[in-house]
Amino acid sequence: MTVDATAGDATAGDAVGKDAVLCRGLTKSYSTPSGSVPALRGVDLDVRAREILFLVGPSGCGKTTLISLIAGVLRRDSGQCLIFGTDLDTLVPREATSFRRDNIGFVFQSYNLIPSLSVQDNVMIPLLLKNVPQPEAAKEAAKALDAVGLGVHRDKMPSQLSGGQQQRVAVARAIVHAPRLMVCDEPTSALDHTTGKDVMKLLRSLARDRGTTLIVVTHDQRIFDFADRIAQMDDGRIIGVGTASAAQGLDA
Amino acid sequence: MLTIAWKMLAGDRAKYFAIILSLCFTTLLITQQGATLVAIFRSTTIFVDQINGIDMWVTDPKSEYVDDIKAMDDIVVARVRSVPGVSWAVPLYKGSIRARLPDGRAESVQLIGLDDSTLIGAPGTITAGSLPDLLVADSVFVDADSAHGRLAYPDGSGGRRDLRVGDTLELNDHHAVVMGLFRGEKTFASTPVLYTTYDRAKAFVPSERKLLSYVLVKLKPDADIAEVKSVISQNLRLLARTKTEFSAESLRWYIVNTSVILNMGLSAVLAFAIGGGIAGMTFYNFMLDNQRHFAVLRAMGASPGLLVRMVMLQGLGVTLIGYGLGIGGVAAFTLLNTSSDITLRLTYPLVGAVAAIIVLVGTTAGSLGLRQVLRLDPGVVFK
Repeated sequence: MTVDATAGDATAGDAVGKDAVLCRGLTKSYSTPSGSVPALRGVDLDVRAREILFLVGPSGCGKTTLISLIAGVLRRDSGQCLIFGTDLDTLVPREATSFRRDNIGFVFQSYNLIPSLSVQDNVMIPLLLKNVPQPEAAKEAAKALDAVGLGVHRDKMPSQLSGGQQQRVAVARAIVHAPRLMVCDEPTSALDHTTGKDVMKLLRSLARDRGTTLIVVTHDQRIFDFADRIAQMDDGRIIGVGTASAAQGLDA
Repeated sequence: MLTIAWKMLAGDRAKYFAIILSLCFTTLLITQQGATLVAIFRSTTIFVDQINGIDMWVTDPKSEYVDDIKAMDDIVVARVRSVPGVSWAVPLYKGSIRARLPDGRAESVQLIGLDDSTLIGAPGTITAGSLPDLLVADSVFVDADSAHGRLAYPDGSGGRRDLRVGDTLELNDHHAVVMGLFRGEKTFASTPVLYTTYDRAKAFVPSERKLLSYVLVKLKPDADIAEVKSVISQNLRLLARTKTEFSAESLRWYIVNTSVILNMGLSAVLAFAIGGGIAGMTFYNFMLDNQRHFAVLRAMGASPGLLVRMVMLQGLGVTLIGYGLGIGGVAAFTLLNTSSDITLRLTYPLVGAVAAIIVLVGTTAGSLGLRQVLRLDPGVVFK
């Protein structure tokens, strides 16, 4: 793999206004009955605005912990992580929640759609959380569903859709409030190859159209082509950042 | 988002109906047991409570409660009337007697004898006849509900019917004519109740030297109650109690000396424990099942305050629907069974108390589930 050796060299000052995500020396440990287990051992990572970055690496290497810290759903032990110049850990919980609500979209491995809500209701949630009036939210949700090709299924329940369709609903939910950053955790792992590629095409197209920065955690080498850059993790560290072609054959 | 919260709950039909039904079932159980308990409480003191317009009940000093009748001499009435502060005093008889129907069937009944000149203590809701008819020779008034099925009259075709005005009875070999019917509340003894005048009651019952059960007293407006009670106690060697005191002491006696109320109370507590447990667990399980969804909402930017409001809406919504169905069921059952032997008394305090209990069940279960949600590691959404 051709490694971009300077990937972690930028300073926080350089990154503000330029980079979507800037992490320096991030550490995180989990407490277990047998003691503290380090998950991140000093991660440095830059993600440029509008970039599509894949995080790859073996299970347990810290990928999910890293995106949890970036998305602000976990707090770091030490280091720094700026999202569009804002350090979420320095905000009071209410401000961090607002920031997440306004700037970050999520796509989960298991879709995490609420099964008792219709497709449209699921997609409306990020807008309703921003106190967008219901009729307007419904209109925007319909647009997002049209964008992922599921406009005709808006009144269905998630259980009435296939896995690929459910993941596209999740994508619609992630983009409906026009976030600046989308965090995707294994978005294709529950899908067959063709459907997985379709979902990635959709994600890339939407990200490009809307200028959204995309961080994708994946094991799926078949979708590496969709990445602008790929960061390889191992044992709680970024061990290399390179292009998709250089990353083919990596231990994902 | 509150609409979304409600849809989250109502959209999961199976759980939604399970929670509603369990809360409805709990409400039914608690209310039915509570209403039965209230009805029993009420029945122990109804005889005292329903006589209005008097201030005091005078009894033998050894009489502990309303049905603990230790008969007094008729002269007692005159003596009470002579006590300073007493405006007027009238006799009242209460006792049991066998009533025989024309077909030879006999039934034990309660006989109440009212003061002949004033008819103080007469039943309130007369459904047939009029109160002055009680002064007609051999007249008795019958409580239609308590007589239903017990004092049923032969209808001439081999069947039986409820008593009507004009029917005759034999009371201890004395001829009695039903001149009126009334609707009274059920008494603890739940035997048929007949009213007549005091003098006629004395004629009906087997002859005894003392037959006076109570003296009902009205005080003068400026009378000192304590002083009157003291004079009646010291000078007449009798016990005078206000209506409230007599009612409360009678109820206390039944609570302390009978196991009926204890058992009913225990049933009500068990109903609460079982029904509340089922309803609470069902709602708690709903919360646990939705933990991941609440965690997703948190990750997407729902504040803890919003999640609390969502859970409160869900809890309060199912609680009120379940409660409404349950209390409505008991109310309908009570209304449809006014003349049966099923004794329920649905009072506003009981309805309020059950509402408080059911809301407590719902909010406790919701709070416990919410505690899990708020303590949940939001990182779980990526696992």
